[in-house]
Amino acid sequence: MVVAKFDIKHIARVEGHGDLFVEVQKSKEPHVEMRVTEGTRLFEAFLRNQCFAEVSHVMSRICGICSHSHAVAALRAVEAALRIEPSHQTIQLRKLMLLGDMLESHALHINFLALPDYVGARNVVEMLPKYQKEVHRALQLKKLGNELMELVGGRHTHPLCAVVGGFTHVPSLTQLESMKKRLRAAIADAKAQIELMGNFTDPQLVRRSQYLAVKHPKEYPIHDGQLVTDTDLQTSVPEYQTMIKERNVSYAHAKFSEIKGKPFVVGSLARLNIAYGQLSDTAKQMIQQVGLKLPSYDIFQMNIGQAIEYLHYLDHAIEIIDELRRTKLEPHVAKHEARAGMSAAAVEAPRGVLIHRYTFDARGKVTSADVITPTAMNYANIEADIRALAPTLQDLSKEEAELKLNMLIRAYDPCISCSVHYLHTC
Amino acid sequence: MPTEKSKPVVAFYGLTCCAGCQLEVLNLEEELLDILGHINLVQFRMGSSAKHPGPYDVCFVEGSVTNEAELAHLKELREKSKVLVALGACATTGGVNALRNGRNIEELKQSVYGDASHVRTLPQIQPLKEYVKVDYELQGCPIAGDEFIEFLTALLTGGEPSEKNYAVCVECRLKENICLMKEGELCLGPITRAGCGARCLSVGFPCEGCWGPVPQANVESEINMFSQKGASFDVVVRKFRMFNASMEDFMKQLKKRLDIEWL
Repeated sequence: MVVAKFDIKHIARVEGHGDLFVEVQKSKEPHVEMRVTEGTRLFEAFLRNQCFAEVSHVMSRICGICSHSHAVAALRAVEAALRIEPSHQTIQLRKLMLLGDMLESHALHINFLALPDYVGARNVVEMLPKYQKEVHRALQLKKLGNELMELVGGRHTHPLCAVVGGFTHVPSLTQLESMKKRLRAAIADAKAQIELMGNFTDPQLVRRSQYLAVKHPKEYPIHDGQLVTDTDLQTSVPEYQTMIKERNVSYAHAKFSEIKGKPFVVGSLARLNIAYGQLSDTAKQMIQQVGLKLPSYDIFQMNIGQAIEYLHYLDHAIEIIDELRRTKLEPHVAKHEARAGMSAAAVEAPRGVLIHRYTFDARGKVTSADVITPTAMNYANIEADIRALAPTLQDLSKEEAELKLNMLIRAYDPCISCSVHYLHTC
Repeated sequence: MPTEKSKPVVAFYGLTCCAGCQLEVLNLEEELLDILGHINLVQFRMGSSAKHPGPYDVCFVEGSVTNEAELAHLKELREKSKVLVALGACATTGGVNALRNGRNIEELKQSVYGDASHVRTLPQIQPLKEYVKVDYELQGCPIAGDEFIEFLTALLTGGEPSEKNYAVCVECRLKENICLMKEGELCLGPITRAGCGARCLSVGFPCEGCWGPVPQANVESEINMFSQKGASFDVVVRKFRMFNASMEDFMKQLKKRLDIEWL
């Protein structure tokens, strides 16, 4: 017997188009469908026959919000397949692109997408009368990320000068110094952002799941590393298909992912649970100050998790700029030529682990491509969470219950248009 | 400041795309609150859970029509809107979505989803103006924030938004860039509409044509320049198709010229 039903069309304040369908039943587990209604996009299919040099520019178009993450994942996978060695300078500049993406996307999600729910508003404009200072601060924190991406990638949405082998353009020393000043000046605001999010302890949903991140021995997850779970599973990125298994679902234009037959989580909470020891000292202090206990299995703490990460990523960007300032920066593109090959790369996008894999023929043309996005990885876990949450909503009004369901989905910061394409193994 | 009643009712909708053009509007961090003071923004699902059934004074639509449901939605939006604006490459030239055009759609679907029986999608991507009357187009992948502000300002003050009927080369020269074509690169600047401020070229990357063809583009001359640089048939076609695969006139000229030269 169905005791409650929710049919939420076009979930708001997330990127892309998705609906949620839930039936809470009396003696059975709730029936949950995360319906991904975004039109199919076929990126990996029409990418075939494109030249290796064009891959990152086409693939960044998968997503406006995390275009720099897609571009860097694509470039790294292409270079690995074609055995091209990027220089240390190139790697550091790419990290800055990813960090810019993190700063912009986290500020957007924390303040514009997640926060309105916690203060009873439907959008950031409705927050203005009471939270004017916070809104202005959020706009500046978001802008800072865009400026970092623009400085290094040439444009904040869909980067330009990051190419296979390196960069066609690099920032000047003066620009880097000015950027460092602005990053430092944002530390106080980043701390205030954490304190603000620390005020919201409701709702909670504590459910132990598996957590996956790209772990690197030397730094908090961002640019490179192994696929590592909090349950100590470990796989090299090119072997990802042995760890992550996908399946089609009839109601979604996206594939759902599992590890060892169970859903898993990627994103800020996964990174924190797996690598909190690698956070900057200031970020660790703020964790203490707001009393966040890690590891955390409360999915709503994705939100404060992003706020903590914002501060850490500021510190990381400052550290990289300090190093780059001591070197002579010049546009540099490593020598390369077309050849046959196959490889994969993973980076941490704002929403979590992002994997790109490509195969090339001897002329350097794409013969197969595969992208698994963090949002696609999270879908199965979102459904599992909703199965746990839904039965607790029965005493609430329909409006309150739907708000909680929306908040849960928004905590994952889903990027739905990213997720609607998947290439079958070939 | 206009009163609440006199503000135009504005909506944003997204069809299939990366949402980068709506994001570009959110990325106007310095101007966003000012803009919101001049319009009554009633629908922007990416940033607000408020819903408004219409009618709208101005409706911005990003993305491409990829299935029947989106087509019906677009037609409905057209009926509800006094002014309909196509936002960005996916809506104005089909953008990268149109790279599916000219290929076997069943095979493409199958290669992405395996069993693709649950996937409904159109074989061809067309600009929105092929389906409904579009009053204005803002080009680019993504749109440029300053063009958006310029456009909105003209609209709000009763002026006619200006159209840039000249090539990217004009903007590139004003930026005093070294011509990448002269450096041996294959650049679509000479046949691409201006508006981006030669952004790619200013950081050393040749134009890929995301603003769409400039009116009266001299495609033949462009192909000549490409072939003089030793570009193969395959390279020329790929360069032209990247953002403009659904631009029929453009493709027709290309085909005609290529038939003579290479086929």
